[in-house]
Amino acid sequence: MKKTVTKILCVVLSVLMMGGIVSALAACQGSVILVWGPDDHEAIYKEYLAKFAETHKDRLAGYKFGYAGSGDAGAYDAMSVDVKGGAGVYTFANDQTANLRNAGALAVVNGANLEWSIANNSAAAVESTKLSDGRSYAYPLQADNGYYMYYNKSAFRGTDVWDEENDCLKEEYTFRDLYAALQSHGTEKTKYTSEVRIKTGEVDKNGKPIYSEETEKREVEVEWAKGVVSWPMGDSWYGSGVFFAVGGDYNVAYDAKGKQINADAWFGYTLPDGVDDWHKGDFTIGNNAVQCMKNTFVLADGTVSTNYLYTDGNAAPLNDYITYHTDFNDAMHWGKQPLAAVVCGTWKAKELQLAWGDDYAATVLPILENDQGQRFTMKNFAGYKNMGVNPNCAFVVDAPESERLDRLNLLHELAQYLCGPEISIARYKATGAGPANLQALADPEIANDAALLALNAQYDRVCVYPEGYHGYEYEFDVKEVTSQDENGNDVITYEFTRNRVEKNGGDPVGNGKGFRTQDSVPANYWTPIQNFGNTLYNELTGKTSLTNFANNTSIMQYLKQLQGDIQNSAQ
Amino acid sequence: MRQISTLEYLSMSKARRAWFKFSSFILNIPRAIGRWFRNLPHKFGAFFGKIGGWFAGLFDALRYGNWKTRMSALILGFGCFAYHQIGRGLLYLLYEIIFVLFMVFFGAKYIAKLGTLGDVAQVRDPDTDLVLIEGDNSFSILLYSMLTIAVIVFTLIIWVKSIKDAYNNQLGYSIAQRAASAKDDVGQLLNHKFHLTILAFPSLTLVVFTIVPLMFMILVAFTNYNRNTIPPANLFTWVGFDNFAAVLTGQAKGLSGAQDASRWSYTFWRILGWTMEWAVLATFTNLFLGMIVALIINKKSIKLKKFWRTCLVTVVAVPQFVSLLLVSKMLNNAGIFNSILFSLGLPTVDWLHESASLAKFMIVVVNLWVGVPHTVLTCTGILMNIPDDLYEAAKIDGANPVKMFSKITLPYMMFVLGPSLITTFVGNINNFNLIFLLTGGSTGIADSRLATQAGDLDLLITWLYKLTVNGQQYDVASVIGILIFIVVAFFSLIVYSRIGSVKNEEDFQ
Repeated sequence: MKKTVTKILCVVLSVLMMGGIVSALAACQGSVILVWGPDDHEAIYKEYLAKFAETHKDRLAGYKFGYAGSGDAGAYDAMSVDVKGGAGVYTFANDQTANLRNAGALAVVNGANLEWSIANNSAAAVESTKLSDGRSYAYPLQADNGYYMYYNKSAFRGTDVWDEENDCLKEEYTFRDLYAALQSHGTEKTKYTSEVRIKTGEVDKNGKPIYSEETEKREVEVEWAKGVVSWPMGDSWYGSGVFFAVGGDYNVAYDAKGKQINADAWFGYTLPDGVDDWHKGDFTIGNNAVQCMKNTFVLADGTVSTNYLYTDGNAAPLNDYITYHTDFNDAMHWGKQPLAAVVCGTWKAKELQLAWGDDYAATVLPILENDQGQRFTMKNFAGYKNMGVNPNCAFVVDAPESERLDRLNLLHELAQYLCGPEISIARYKATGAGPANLQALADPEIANDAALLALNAQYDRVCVYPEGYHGYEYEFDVKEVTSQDENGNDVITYEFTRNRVEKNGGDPVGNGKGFRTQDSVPANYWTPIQNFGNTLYNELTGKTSLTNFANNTSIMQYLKQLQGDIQNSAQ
Repeated sequence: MRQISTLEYLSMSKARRAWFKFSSFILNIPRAIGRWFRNLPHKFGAFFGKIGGWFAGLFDALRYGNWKTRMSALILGFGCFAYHQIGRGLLYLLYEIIFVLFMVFFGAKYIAKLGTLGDVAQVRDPDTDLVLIEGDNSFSILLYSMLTIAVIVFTLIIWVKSIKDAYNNQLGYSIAQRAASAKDDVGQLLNHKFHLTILAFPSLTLVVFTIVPLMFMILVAFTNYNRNTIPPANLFTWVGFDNFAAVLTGQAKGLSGAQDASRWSYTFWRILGWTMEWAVLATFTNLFLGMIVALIINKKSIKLKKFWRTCLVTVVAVPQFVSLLLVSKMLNNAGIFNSILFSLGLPTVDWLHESASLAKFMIVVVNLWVGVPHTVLTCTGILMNIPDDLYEAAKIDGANPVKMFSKITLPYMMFVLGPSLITTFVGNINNFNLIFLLTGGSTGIADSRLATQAGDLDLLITWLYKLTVNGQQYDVASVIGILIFIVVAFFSLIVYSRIGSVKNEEDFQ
């Protein structure tokens, strides 16, 4: 009897265990509408989500909001795995628009929603939400995803690059000018006043010290001859600036579904239609890019500047340099150099302002120079952060068919609310994020922000026109030239010019400035460009045994490869 | 391979004997593979023979059974009802009803589209231009088809079982005029067939949570499921062996990934090369150094033996990933080593990013630190088990320490360590922690020939991780997964079938 009871108990237990697993799985499927945004905006979003939930109680149908932090690429990584379990409303960088749309995670913004978007946001920002089909897929959130130059005034004051009249850097300057200016300080030590936030002595969950809101002014003494200028040439987003400056360009063709079917790049060389032999291409653009990029950290005598700080876009090394100015007791400061200037975006504005105090300033990107002294204006991507609505999220898809439209509309309303003026100003005050909302932009504090002014000046300067549907395409004038080599044989070469031809009236985008947005890069764009910057730096500083930049032939080979990598992607 | 007599062997010099052993081991590998393949038909034969035998019973039942038995093929449990086995009959019937409902409302719609993995894409409702109209979901089709197939296989078993039951009833009834009652059945399930009762639920979970997902993931290797075809907004479909061709030969056209196929194959072979290089290096450096340290600690003249062992155990006691993250910080550009170098006025070294060969060297060194204590512990156990009289006898016979080591200690150790070497080797092929936590799989020195997501320090397993988590290249990742399995299975089988501990199991005392 006892044995039988034991046996039955065994069976019951194993059934219970199964039941436990099943019910635990079921419990995971809670009724939560997820909202994804940056980690450091969590408190703001939670506050405004609570307000929205309060006013729309009846339509939320028992659902409640949940917030989760996601990085720039985080949204796509998660959506590509499970779009139904993903956020209902979420922020993302506009270069992810096409990916997210392909993953089914972006609802079209049309009709009244699009009218709201156009009426309340800067035109260029609205343009950044559009894809090649001309339709808008998101709401503009932040118009600040670009880069420009931050610098410490005391590092350059009184040197050759200084504009005495306006107390700022001269409008045209090169990286080499900055290095020379730093070197001109010699062994002299400069004092400037830094505004330092006081440590509370506590640390947050990541182990970083927590600072109180109060600041105190401290006099910092630095040897600017050892100061560093940093630009992340190892990161494709920044490295692209060099290609755009020297005339590099790309063109992407889409099919009716918005998938890339063809990509053309003019980053290595240009080749007219009908000529297949890449040896006969015109390598001016590629060679200029190589020379200009090289000259951002190599001095005229061929040595690598001691004032250049290389990063691959990873913020960690840069953070160490910033804390040099704020955290003098930090044991990690052995051998660190002061930070004189850095190419970066708004997300470092607050930190740099504290580090540099009154001498904090920002301006447009430097001028690039090739080996012959030809000068090019460095250009950047105009990037935006946008707010998307996920039409495949559980809140919408799990609803009965008749209610889906209402629920989707509710999410659109939420997205509009989260892009509104009130929350935009709150975001700016907390993190320095530059809003896209027109009302928020009119706020006096935002309108006079040094970093945002520099960013806008940089956007003004940039004149890379967007491709294809935006109004331009390329045509070639080809001329066949017959010459004779040393043996007297005929050699045919091609001379050609590349012309940009207006299409659809050639209307430039948005606010009339016309700049390259990130949304439409070729599918395999970032990695080849990243490799370009990385490889060039590593080779010239002797860190690799690759020989991509050893001589003219290998440079040509490498440029061909670079271009091929980008073009092969769309298939 | 030339066969030689014992006499011939003994007449060789020592070096030649060692060479002979080594070369015969290597040369026997192809032969072993050949043998394995030659045996394959027999293995298949045996396997299908069993299945066939099972179905033969079914054939008999249908051929010699009466109409009641044959009716059971259509209505499950009919044969049970006919012989007054109401309980069992009801269960069969209930199962049949559930199965039919399952197929009609769930299984059929997925199985029907398994051939194409769906052909209706998701679109927006043309009226509102907002709401989506659901289309086919390739992912669900593939996954639920697998589930349905599992259910169908199970149903097939039940079906055969029911017919055989009916036939048995028919035979039994004609003899004893009574079939087993429901009470008998329950009694059986609690006694003779208790293993079935207790294993039923674990088997179910095994099928649902392991076998079905595994089949799913294997089949993904034959589709174009990647970042361009993510459901439910897109459909993916079958591409046959294109993914394998791209990864192995670089010759496939159909691959819709973000790069040309030749790059996949370049990356695969290069990473495979480093993976094997790493696995051999890591395994043998650990083995030899561990052995040496164990021997040193075990020497009679060494004092504080327990203390030294405790020191080594401490390393094992700290979770590996904690040590690794810590070491990666220490080897950082601004880490403790560079800090010391700097304060001594020496040039600093970027240990893990300076060059691939330096980084690889550092990885092996760090692996020594993490892995040697394990080897030492195992070796110590073996060393303490070697009977002292063997050494005493050897000493009396005039053997020197080197002789004693090579004739007593080493054979003893290798006999025990042999099988564990395989696990270590396989573990190192898949040593995700060390490579990923220490280096992230890359020195950061770009190589334009590598496929996206791959780094110069990646092992196959870390590349696989990056392909799925960061690259959404599920098709290629699945191929890599299958290839890793093949590599690991190959080495395990070869070595396992040829080492002494398996061949001469009885020798060990």
